Amino acid sequence: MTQKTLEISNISTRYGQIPMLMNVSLEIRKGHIACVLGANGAGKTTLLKTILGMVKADTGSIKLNGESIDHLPTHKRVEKGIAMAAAAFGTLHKMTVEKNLKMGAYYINDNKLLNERLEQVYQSFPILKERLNQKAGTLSGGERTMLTIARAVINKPTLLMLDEPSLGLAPIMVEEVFRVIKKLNEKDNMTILLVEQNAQKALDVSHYGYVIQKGQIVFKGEPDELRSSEYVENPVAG
Amino acid sequence: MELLFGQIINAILLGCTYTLVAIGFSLFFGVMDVVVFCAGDIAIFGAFSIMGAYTILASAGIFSVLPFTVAVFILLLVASILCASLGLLTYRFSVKPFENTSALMPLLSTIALGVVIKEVLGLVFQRVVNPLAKAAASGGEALAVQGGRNPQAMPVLIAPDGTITERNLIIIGVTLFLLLALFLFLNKTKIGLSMQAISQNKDLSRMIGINVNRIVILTFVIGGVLLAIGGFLVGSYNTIIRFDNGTMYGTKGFAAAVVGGLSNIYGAIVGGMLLAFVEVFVSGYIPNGTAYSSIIAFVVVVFFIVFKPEGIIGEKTVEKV
Repeated sequence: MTQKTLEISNISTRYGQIPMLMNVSLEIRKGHIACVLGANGAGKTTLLKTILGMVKADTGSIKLNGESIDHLPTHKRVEKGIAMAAAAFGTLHKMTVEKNLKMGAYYINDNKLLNERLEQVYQSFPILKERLNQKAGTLSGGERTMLTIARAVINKPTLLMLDEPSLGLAPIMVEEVFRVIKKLNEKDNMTILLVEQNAQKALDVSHYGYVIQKGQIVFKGEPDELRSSEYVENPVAG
Repeated sequence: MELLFGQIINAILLGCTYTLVAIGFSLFFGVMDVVVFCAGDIAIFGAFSIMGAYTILASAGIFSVLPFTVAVFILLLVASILCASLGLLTYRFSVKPFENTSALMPLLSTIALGVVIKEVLGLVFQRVVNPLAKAAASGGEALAVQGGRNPQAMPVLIAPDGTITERNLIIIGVTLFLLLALFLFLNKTKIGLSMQAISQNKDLSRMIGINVNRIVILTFVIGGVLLAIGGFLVGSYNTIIRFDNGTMYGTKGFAAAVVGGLSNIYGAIVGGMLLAFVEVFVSGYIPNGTAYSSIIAFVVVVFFIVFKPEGIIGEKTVEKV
């Protein structure tokens, strides 16, 4: 039996009176990439924030490796091994790239281990190695996306959540980002929850997919099933 | 030449006192994005708590039992603890309740808290007969009876038997030490780095796993301690303190922080020194300048706000797409 890294059942959240997620259930198997597709405002980022505890869920439960994390605040969830990378959240723009990475490794207290991890990250993200002493605010869009992913990966998280990694990038950078995602999954065996608007690219790397519309999961299945469904052929208009 | 040297020293001393208050503003602004207007009053509260504790300890005869340095250390400790608690109180009752409202609300509530602190100081020290009051002015006895709305003598804790030069050097030394300690703390410790991260990007800091609430609370504690020592230096430099000194020090500290760049701690140092130099040199070299020194200093502030609104070493806000 395959282990489930993340199990969400019947999550509902609101911003004030406006419902953002309604009875969302979702699961990811260990070592898989699951993608959540949807238009702007469908609730994709809210879903990730809810998993990380940055948004409180009204109902439902979230389990990481079978263990309930509902009662934990955000920083405890990060300590448990959930890492989120979202280019839209920006960087610590006044700090150097290296310091950004070190801040990402907030819970690694062992210096030797930290340096080891930094080396590994430089190998996966060679772009960053050339920019180590540059302020993060001066990076290009693609480099910034790489930095946000690298910052999350440095913890070797149990669950890596990527929020629209292709957003605002040139096509060649989009290719590069998805190549990195695939490598993280295949080589480092990382479990990934990928949230995207770029359905075709996301489905190419995913093992399983969900379609979210107005805060509800309206379709789920294997990438091939999603490709032939009405939702992906006619991408949900935003 | 000697006069010039004296003026420079004087300006640096005044700058030290402004700088510490300005750093308080910068620290609080950094983590909460609000201007905590009672910072000056917290500092003066620190000065008064040293004076009050001194009065109590002196009447208990502590100073004849303990070595003087130990007693001074105890006084500073008391003031630090009281000011740290006041910092916490400020956060809990004047800042946190308005976290998700318009920026005007914490502004007003901290101004209000500042008034409360001032009036409480005025009231409490009305009853305390300050044994040092005699030294403050010639009408010593009357002064003590009239109470807290009059200037109170700050106990001479810095170089009590030394010369003025010695006292001045110690004030500058203490400030330099604090600045260095703060610099190391902000750049070398996890808490300091977290404070910087929060001031740059609060949402991202939360996402990285920083316990933002805890760091914000710690910032108010650390800011309180810093302001306590700031108040101690203010009192030692001026030798007398008044319950409402906090208003002027708050306004000048805030102006210094804005001129330097509100979100930048090092800007507070530059701004504080600038303000002090303008003030001292106006008093020293313009006939009757003392009367105008504050006015001219604030005119300079206005010029900086008009022509360099991001502050001397603040960063220009770049519009993000």
